[in-house]
Amino acid sequence: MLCIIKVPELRRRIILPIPLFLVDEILDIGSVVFSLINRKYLPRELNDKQIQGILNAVRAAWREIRRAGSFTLVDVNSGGAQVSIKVV
Amino acid sequence: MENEKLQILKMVQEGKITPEEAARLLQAVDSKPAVTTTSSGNGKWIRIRVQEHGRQIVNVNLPLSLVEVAISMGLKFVPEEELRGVDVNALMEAIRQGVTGKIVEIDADEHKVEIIVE
Repeated sequence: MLCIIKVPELRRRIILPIPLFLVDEILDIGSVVFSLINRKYLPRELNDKQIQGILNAVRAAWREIRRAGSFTLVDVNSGGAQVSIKVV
Repeated sequence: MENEKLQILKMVQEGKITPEEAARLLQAVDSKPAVTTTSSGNGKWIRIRVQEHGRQIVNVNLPLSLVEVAISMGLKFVPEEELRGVDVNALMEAIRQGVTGKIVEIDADEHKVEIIVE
């Protein structure tokens, strides 16, 4: 995955390559961390089941993004600044 | 899922977590719902485009299968009255059946938002 950032003040583009497996691992770790973290650090408005549901939803969404192949997920161009996220 | 369970057991073996914590983690792993992701999108895409003064400023491309997953999960959190009579399932079914083209267009002053199925 590539994050490409361009701001008017910088003459060059910033390209951040993010390995897809890294996102996989971070999402897997999220579930583990949630199970271990003290409840007081989590939003009170949501119960454990809802938080677990959100984590599962994010993981399912990421799985679908991976299955879609290579494409431009987001491309924002405003006021001279440009941010693109490409799944490659 | 088997990999996750093995990792948890390894952590117990290495003394990083207690057996009680491992039991909670294993329970969390088992309680993951089996999200069946089908290829019902049939290669279709949802494209969200925002224009400002006729110039495109935002372009988002989402595979239809991702939108289906997001909607099915989102519906669990959104109260029915918030949908205001919008039958989301019927909309998705229509898209699966072959509806393509612009499905939403919002034109407000300097901004224009389009949602397109391709």
